[in-house]
Amino acid sequence: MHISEGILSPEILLAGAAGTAIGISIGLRSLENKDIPKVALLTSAFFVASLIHVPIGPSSSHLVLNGLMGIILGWEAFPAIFVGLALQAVLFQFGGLTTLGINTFNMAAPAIISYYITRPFLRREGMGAVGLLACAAAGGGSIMLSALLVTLSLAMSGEGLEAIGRLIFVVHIPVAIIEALIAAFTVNFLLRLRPDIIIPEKTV
Amino acid sequence: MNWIIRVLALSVFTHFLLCTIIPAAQAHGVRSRIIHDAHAWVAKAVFSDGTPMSYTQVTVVGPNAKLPFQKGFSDKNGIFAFVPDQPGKWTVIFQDPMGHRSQTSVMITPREGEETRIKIPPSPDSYSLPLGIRVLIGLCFIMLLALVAKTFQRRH
Repeated sequence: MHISEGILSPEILLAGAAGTAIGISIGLRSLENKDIPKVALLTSAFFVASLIHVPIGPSSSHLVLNGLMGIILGWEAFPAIFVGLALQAVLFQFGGLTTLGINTFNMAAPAIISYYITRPFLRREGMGAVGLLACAAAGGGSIMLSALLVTLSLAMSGEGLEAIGRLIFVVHIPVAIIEALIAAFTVNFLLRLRPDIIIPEKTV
Repeated sequence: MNWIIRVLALSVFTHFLLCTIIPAAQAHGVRSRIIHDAHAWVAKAVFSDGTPMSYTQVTVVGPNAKLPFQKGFSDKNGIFAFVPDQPGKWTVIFQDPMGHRSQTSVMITPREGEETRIKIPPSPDSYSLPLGIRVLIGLCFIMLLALVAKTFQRRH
């Protein structure tokens, strides 16, 4: 899911960086003081989740958790994913610094969609079967949408990269299933235990 | 300051849970190394006039294998190198999009004193710090950033 340095065209890199800059500015504007620990915790989870790899045939992939981040954080997922990816690039050599913008956009944009898809179903008293399904769809769908964005980024950057993009899409299907379960379980658990984490008091 | 301790403790606990208890928690990064003497075999293909088959698709098939062992392209001089990992009959196929095809095979037998399976030495980690320490550095950085953001917001 992390696109490395030297693969994408400058136009794609710039477009990704611009989209990420807009997303981060909206995310930072909506960031409230009481939300900072929540954002820090999910950034930590995102940063560490990349170390859990899921073996898929001769290749492997890893957990991303962008769907879960989107459901819980909303627009704040943009700065959270940006920080997580920057640290992964510096400390683990995942992706790169020039591709930080496009990588952040590819993972954070589906997270925002997850937020808007699941929000109508989340209630302090619970979310029911439909809400559970919406969270699972958002968790798994975010991965597939990110894979689609990576595929498009590669396809628009040069010939011969479409095949790699298709492969990326296929290998992330098992990860999407795992993340769908994680998202549904985690949101359901948090709604029962600490609903204020999912639904801040101001919106109730 | 309670939240910092709570978040840091949770992060560290999660890290150790993932890295020590769950065996699947491994680094997903990649590293590379150039090996000088790796028992490589070199195949070369030329056209009938002696011109090398440059940048041509090459497929290497190992003994008793259904799937190709390796796929790639020849270099500027029509050369392709591969490292067989077991004895037996190895086949190298050069094929260009115009329909030119050349297939050649070689019987590889282990030399006396050599192991049957060729072992490629593992690449060293390009980082001097162990993975666990790097994870902790990252988590501490996130906490530091959160602390700065919280202090900054409180002032404004």
